[in-house]
Amino acid sequence: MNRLSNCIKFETKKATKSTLIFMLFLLVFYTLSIVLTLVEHSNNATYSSMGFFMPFSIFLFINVSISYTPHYNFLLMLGNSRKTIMFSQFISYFIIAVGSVIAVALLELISQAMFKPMHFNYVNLLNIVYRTNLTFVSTVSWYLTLFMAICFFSLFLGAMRYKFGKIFSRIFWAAFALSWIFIPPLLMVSGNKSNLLNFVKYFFGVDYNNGIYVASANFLIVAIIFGIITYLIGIKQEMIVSEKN
Amino acid sequence: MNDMILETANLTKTYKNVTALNDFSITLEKNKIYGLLGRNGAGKTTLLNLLTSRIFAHSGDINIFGENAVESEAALSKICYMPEKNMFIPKMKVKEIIATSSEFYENFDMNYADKLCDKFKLSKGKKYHELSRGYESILRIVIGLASHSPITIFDEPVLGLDAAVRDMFYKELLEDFIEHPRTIIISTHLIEESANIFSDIIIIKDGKLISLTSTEELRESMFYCSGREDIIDRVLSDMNVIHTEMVGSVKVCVVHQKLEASELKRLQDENLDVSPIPIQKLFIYFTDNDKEATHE
Repeated sequence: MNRLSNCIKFETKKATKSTLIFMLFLLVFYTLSIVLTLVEHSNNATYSSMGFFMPFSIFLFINVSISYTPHYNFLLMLGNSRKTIMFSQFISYFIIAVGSVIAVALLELISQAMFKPMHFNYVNLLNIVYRTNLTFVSTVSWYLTLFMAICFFSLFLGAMRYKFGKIFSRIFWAAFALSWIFIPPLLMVSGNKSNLLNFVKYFFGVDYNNGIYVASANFLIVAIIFGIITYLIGIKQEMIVSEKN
Repeated sequence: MNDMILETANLTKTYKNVTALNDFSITLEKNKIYGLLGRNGAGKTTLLNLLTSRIFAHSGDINIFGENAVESEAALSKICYMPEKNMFIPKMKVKEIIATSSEFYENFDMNYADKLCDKFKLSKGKKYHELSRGYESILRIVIGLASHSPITIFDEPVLGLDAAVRDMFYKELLEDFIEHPRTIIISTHLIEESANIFSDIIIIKDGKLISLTSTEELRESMFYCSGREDIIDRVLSDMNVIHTEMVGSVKVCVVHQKLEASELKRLQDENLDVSPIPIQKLFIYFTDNDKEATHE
């Protein structure tokens, strides 16, 4: 138990540090955008409730993935079993997902406090997508499960990269790039009859009653599936040390 | 046998078609400093990685303090293994690495770690990737020594260190060992200078255990005998000669057997020179690919 808590402490401490730096960067960026807007004297500027969500998701995705190898090796070197390392990662990334929700909420509050006195238009994107009155619980569950899905999928990518090396990264990013070329036409080609489009709508809960909860449940399922796969990979993984680490 | 701390039985590890460790059985005892010697690719690092569950064996058992050590947190928490290859996080500062390490080893002595950093002039404010090869080794030495783990393992601990710092390390290790006796395993290629600190020496060749014996016994297990060729051939005919060479008109033989006092007298009476073999040379004869010298 002591080793597990030490591993969690290590993981969360490293993540908190990088998250705080990234938050600071985002705040500076948003402050600059306000200054630029004021310089242009625009009265019709619009800001959305999800302005911080995309950059934060990308940050989480990259940060979790690239941390996997060095953290796994370091904790293995300090005499921890793979089981402890894997469990500590799951608990840590759950904590980090919670922390990310708090961070995004804080950034939203700060931005609202900055924009509202200027009478800019305010758009809540979640409201538009789900056409429903958002509650605190539904909003938090959507953000939390999404960040969990991102963390656990990214953890899975980190584990695969550790196992198969750079070749996996190259194949994954090539497939990712190709998906942007092929998927949009596939979504369009059959209109509303497209199975792929229906799946995407179902996955994100669009056009569903209580769609925001449908999406949250799907995000949670994705997080659990990738968590289990990552555990199965990590628990049997032999140490691999590159010269660069 | 009560002093047994670590035991492997029929350990085998293969990488694709290469057998790195073959049916390897060994028993190590409490409070000894073991030198782990072997040529490049002999299986030293594979053995150490197996002992610490960094990799898995294809067959065989590993017991530490009497319990199965594979992925056992109880066993792993008693081992501090400082590997040769970089497993630290490059962007972490030295002080952060030491502080994090201290949380995972229950006997870790932070004051001693600070003292060692000062002694070896290791800057705690530097990031790991800013350290030279030598200071990377020093960081490993600091953590390994300060951990005071019941089993402390160093893989090539003095890589990149100059002679003076290497000497400091050997002295520090011995002083700390006297104060905090424990089992220490050192894998090294710098045999001659480190031989004096080993109480026992393990020699591995091609993934097999060639010898595990006390340093003294190993020293006594071979000797040089030199003199006129005709006398050498006659006198040593009943001895286990594993290597011969001519130096001018003098024939030099390496004899692989313990020399009793009566035999020494007989050789000296025949005007033959008898001298001990340095550990490094001994190691070479043991691991010579053309010869098979084994020590029970």
